[in-house]
Amino acid sequence: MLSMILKMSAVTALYVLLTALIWLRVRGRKRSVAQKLLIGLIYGGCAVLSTHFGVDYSHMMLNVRDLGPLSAGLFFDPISGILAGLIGGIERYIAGTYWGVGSYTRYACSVSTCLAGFVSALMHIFIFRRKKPSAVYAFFMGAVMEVFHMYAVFITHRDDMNMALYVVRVCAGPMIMFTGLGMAASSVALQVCAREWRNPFRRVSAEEVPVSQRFQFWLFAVTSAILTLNLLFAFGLQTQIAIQDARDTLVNVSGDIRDTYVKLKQTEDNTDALAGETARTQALAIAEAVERLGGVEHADAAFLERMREVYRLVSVASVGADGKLIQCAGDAPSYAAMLGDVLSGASESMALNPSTVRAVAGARCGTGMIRVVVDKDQLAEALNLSGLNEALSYFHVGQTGSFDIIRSNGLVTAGEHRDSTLTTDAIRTLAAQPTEVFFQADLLGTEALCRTEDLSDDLRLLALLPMDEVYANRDAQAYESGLAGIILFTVIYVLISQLVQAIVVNNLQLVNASLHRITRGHLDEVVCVRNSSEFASLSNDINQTVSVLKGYIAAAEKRIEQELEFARTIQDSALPKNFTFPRRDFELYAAMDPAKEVGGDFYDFFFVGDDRLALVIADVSGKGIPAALFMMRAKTAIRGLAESGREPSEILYRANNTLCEGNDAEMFVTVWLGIIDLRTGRMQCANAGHEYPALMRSGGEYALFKDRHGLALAAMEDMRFKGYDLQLEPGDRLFVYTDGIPEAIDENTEQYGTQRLVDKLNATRGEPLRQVLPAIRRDIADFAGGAEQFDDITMLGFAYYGSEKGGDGHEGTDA
Amino acid sequence: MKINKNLEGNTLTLALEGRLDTTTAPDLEQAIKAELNRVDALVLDFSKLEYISSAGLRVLLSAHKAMAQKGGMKVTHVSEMVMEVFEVTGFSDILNVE
Repeated sequence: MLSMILKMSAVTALYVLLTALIWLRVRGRKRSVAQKLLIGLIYGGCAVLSTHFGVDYSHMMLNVRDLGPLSAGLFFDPISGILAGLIGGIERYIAGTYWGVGSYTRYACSVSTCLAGFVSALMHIFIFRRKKPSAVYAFFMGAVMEVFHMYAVFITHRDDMNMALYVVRVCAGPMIMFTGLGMAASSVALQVCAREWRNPFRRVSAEEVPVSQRFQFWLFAVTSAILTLNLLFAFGLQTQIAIQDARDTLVNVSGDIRDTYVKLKQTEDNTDALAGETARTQALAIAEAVERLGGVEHADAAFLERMREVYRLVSVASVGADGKLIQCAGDAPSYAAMLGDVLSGASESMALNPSTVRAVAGARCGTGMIRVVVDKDQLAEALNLSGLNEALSYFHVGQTGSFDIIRSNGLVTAGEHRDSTLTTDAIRTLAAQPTEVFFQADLLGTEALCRTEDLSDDLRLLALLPMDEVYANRDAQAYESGLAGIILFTVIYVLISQLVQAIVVNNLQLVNASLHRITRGHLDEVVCVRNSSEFASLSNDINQTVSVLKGYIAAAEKRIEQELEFARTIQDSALPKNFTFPRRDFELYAAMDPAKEVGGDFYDFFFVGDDRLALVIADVSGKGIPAALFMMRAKTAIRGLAESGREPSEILYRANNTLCEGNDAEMFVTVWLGIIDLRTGRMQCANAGHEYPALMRSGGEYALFKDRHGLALAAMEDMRFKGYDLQLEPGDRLFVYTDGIPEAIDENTEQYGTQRLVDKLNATRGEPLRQVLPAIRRDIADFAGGAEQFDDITMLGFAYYGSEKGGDGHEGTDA
Repeated sequence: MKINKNLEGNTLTLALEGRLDTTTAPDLEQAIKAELNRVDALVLDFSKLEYISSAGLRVLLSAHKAMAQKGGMKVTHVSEMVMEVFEVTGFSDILNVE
């Protein structure tokens, strides 16, 4: 037993090692057909080796051949599994048929090995969906495959259940366990190799357990319980039936034997004559023997005694011619007178029946006589029993049972153990048991169901049926229905769990996927799982909720839209719109075209004193209400500082520090600021991270003026900005803008860029600014085509005409 | 926009791919915020960045300020176009651009 366990463990461990090695070798790679076939060949070879190097146990060769195709199919590829199964199975059949290797189970073995390949392939594809099975599933795969193997042994030997039962009894336990454990160990080994191994005893919270797993667990528990109960019930019933059958057999056989015995006993009545005749024949025979010795005088007591024993007589006596007793063996009744005729020579021999129990006969021996006395009962018994033995040889108790007729002293006088004697223990047991009652005892070397019956005062009939035979049928049935139950249970389990997967889990996943899309903002997603009333109702509820939600969102959007619209209006109204000035020495035009969402662009212009005009263009980072509010702050700060007469760089420095305060939203604003003295044309400028201005000198072309840059306002405190001066001559033009222009994109996300801007500016340089700016806006719109405008488009154009043109236009100053 | 994270020791490298504008800037902000407490240094790989808008600059600015107290923030593989934006906005003066 221990040696078998060790050997089987070693073989199984080799399989596990092989699986782990092959897996490590081919892991992660896409396997070619050749590789799949090679794996199939390797495992097929292993299956063949398993066939020929089985482990000897109780005259049976145990093996784990099915591990080959199962491992190949479950852990590698369906093709490998099928190939290994076919190789192992077909070779098993050939070995069984032609080479006499385990030919008794060749059908069962070869079929189950072939099937193992196909089953593992199907399971791999449809149940495990090309993932590694967990250790528990792997165990059951292996174990159930071996269960089928055992069941196949039964099916293929319907006519020889005893042998099949023996084979299954020996093989079932080790082969099922080791194949199951081998698969489980392989699964664990692969999981460890793949670093997917998790401690199965770790407590998992309910959230982590999928519905299907919980369902499978309970399905497993319930079906196992039902299966076990069913088996126990059937086993109990079978036990009852087996015992009842055995009792019936014993009663019937005992009855028949008793009948036979009684029938033969009835012939006893006819034995008076027979007894006399027997006595006479025996007397003659002894007389003859005595005569050979030389007459009655020569027959001593010892000889007579021997004769008495041989012929089982009550007494043997030699009588002289005078009628006197010479020698006597046994008690010597005085029947001499009755045999006077023999002695007188009137007859050779004669028999008398002087009493109901004895018969007497005499035979002439020379001048004397031999006289014998026979016990009629004993004679009848001897005669009966010899007939009985012959008659009894036709009886049998089951196949291995026996019956015996036993004397009270333990001597078996008839039956299968005739002429042997029971052990004292057996005699005691037998004596203690009442008759015609069934009891279980070991009387003749095996535990058996026994029954006794008294045939006479001295004789007792014992019929017994060994327990092995009593339960043989029950055990075979139990094994068979147990194995069939496990197979049936597995099929039902797999089918139901697949059904649940299809009906519940897949639907849940569909609903979940839809919900996932909805939570990602696709509110138009419709949940449509309508293959059961519950899911249809769930789908409806979700759809309804989403549609109500959509209504709320739409309402909220509308409100926000309105607020943004207000914000946009307020923002817009904060920008100066009056571009007509009561003087001719400059021309100014600006425009802001907000994007869909309110943004933070702004422009501004205002007089600082009589002849100094401040121009501002700015872009707040970000969008929406925060940007709009920040823009208002920035605009107010710059205008306030500028109006106090400071230089642009100083204005930006102070505005920066003002804006940095409490700038928790970490917004910033790029600003270009220029203050021109309209009398001299000198423009003091400063740039806080804003786009380069485009400058056109009188008679020349526009070009970007790469001015000195500082960091955008509100980004860092205490930043110093370096201002610069621009000397504008009459006819010069300056164009500033926000990044909405160069970064406007077309449908291919190509940017408008500064070059297109400069080109367009040059193309329209002769026109009044009032027309130039809308032309640029149109050009950008044409460029963008269908692309959405992301950013505000803000621009400000300034043309300096100086006093030469505006001499007569100095209305403002004049006035 | 795609953000590829790579944490080596205490240095987090975020490689940006695509456009960093108003719609995608919150993603980057989220990604930086999520890791800020765990890392000492931040590297932004701009080799595949196509465009940066002012909203993107805002995220860079706040990240820069947050990292200034730790191991600092570095911007690497800046394309010409993005560099132009940095220069125009003055960010090139404060950011550590390589």
